[in-house]
Amino acid sequence: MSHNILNCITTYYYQIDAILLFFVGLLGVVFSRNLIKILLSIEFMFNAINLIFVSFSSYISNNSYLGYTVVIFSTAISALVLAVGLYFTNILNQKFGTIDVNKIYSKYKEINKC
Amino acid sequence: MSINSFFFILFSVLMCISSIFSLLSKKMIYTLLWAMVVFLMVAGLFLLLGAKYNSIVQFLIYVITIPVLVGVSIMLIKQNSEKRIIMLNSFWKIIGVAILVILIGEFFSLNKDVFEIVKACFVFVNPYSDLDSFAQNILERYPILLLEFGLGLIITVIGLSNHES
Repeated sequence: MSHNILNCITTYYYQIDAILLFFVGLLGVVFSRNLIKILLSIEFMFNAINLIFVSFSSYISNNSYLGYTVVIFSTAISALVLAVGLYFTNILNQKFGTIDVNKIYSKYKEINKC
Repeated sequence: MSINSFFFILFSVLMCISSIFSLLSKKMIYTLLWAMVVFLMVAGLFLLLGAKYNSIVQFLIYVITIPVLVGVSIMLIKQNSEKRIIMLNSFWKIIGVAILVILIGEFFSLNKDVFEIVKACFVFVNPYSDLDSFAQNILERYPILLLEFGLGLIITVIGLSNHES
């Protein structure tokens, strides 16, 4: 029987996947200037962490459900973060007329100088 | 290649590609659509790992409610008025998608055990992933946490609605 690595997908692969998603989210937070993109990247990072929690929980499987429960609450927190972040995004858009982070910062500096 | 590994590779590759596309796309609505694909694929990975309840919650929150929220805020934000360009290549795009769908359909129809692949999505290795026992577990072990998060959501909603900008 030929040994094929694809025949035995373990939790290890899920964790690699989660780490990739986390780094994509991190890159989005660092390099994108749009506030909504930054918020969505934070959601990617939340999802990656949730994936790691679920993979470890399914690996242990001692009927504790701790990882699954943490993920439920983490999802609630991430939804809260997104809602509040979008609210502030709308306020910033009303105030400065843009959602570009650099432009908002420069306009904020101009206002504070005067 | 087993069915589990096939779905794992499908979900993970689609997840990575669409997460990169969501960051690279210029229009906000496309970013949102690609992000929806990412969340959907993560829900699929949860399903493969045996977390049914988490998968359902992921689908309900990330694929249904959050896109509505983000979409409304995108509509509220004034974007630079861009002239609508008549896309000549939209016809070819539609044809390309149709060919892709036909190819995927052919793949599934040529495979003999189509129903087994569909069934495999709902059969899990982990025996401790029943919905009832999970919900019971949350209610028995972490009731205060559940109440706290509900209170947090209510406080946020009240605070956001009462704020006068």
